[in-house]
Amino acid sequence: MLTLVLVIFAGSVAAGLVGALAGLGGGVVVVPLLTIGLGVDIHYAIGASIVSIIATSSGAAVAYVRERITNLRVGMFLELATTTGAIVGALLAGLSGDDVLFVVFGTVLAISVVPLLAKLGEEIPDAVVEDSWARRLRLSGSYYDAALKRLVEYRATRTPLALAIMGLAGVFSGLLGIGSGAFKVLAMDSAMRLPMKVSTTTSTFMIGVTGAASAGIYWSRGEVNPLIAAPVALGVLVGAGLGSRLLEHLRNTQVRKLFVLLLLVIAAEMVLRGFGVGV
Amino acid sequence: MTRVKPIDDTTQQAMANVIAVLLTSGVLLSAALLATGLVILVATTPAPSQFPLAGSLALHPQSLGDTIGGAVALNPLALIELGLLVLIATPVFRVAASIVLFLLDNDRLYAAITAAVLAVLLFSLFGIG
Repeated sequence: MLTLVLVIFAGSVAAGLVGALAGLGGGVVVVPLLTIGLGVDIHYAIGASIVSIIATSSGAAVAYVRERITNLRVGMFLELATTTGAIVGALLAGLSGDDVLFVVFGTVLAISVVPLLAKLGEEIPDAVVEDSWARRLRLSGSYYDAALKRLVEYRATRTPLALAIMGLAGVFSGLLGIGSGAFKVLAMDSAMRLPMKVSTTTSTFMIGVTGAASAGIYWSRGEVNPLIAAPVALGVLVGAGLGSRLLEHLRNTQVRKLFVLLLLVIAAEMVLRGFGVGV
Repeated sequence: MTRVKPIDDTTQQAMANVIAVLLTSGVLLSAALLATGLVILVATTPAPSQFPLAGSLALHPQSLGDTIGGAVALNPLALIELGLLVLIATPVFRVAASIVLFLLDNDRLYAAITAAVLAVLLFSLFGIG
C-alpha cells in the first residue's frame, strides 16, 4: 500500500513538473501512469487527471503571482469562450460516439505540430502587428524574462481566431472530459503569437479554472478515488511548484520543444483512446 | 472604454500581496489535509489485493457539514475530501479575487469580463454538476 502511494506520488511530481512548464495539466503523464502502469480503470484515472490539472494550476499560481509572466487579461478574456464552450460540450455529450471524437481530437493535435516545427528556433515573436481586438482589449503586454535578463514587450494578434480555438477547446473538454491545455497554448502561441512562456503560464492559469468547472461532474459521479487522488494532488503540487521556478530560467525555445514533444504524446494517447486502448 | 487613472500602485501591490498570501495558504491547507488523511488511510487500511480499489473507497458527495465534522474527527476520507474541496476552490477564489484587483485598477471592462467568467464557473459547478 505504502509503495503504491509513493509510486503515484513520485509519478505525479514528474507530471506537475512538465505540466507547469508546458501549460498542460499533467494528465498526459498521470493517466498512462495509472492505467498502463498500475492497471487503474480509465474512469478513475481521468478523475485523478482533473485533480492533477487543478493542482498544477494552483501549485504554479503560487510562484506566478510573484513572477507576473501570466497575462491575466488574455487568460480571462479567452476563458469566457472556453467555459461557455465547455457547457455547450457537456450539453452535447452523448450525441456522437466518444471514440470518433478522440480520434478527431488526436489528429487535430498531431496536425497542429506542423506550424510549430517551423518556429522551433524562435525565441520572441518578431514584427507582430496588433489587431483591433487586441488593441481595444489591451491584450498586448510585457514581462521580465530571467533567462534573457531583460523586459520583453509583446503584441497580440489574430484575437478572433484564438477565441474560436478556445471555444472549440472548451467544447472538446466538455464532451470528452479532458483538459484542453494543448489547445490553449496553441491558440496563444500559434494564433495570437504571444511569447511561449506567456502562452504556457497563461494556459496553466486557465486550465485550473476550466478544471474546477468540470471537477463537479467527476466528483458527483464518485470517480475521484481518495487513495489515488490524494497522492496525485500532493505530488503534482510539489512538481508544479518546482516547474514554475524552473520555467523562469528556461528559454522560450526550450519550452516550445518540450511542448511539441508532449503534444505528440497527447495526440498518440487520444487516438489510442479512440481505438479503445485505455491511456 | 476610457481608462481612468489607476489608484496608487502601493494599494494595488498590497492587495496583490494579500491575494498571493491567501492563495498560498489555501494550497498549503489543502496539502496539509491531504497529507494527514493519506497517512491515516495508509496506516489503517489493509493492503488492497489489486486495482481498481474503487467501490467502497470512492468519495460520495455528502454535506459540507458532515465532511468538516469527519475531518475534525480525523476520519481519513473526510480529511482527503476536504483537502480536495479546498484545492478545487482555489481557482474559483483566484477568479473572484481578480475582480477585486481589476476594480482597484479602475478597469471596469475586465472586472465585468472576470465577473462573467465567475458566473459561468459557478453555474457549471452548481448548475450542472
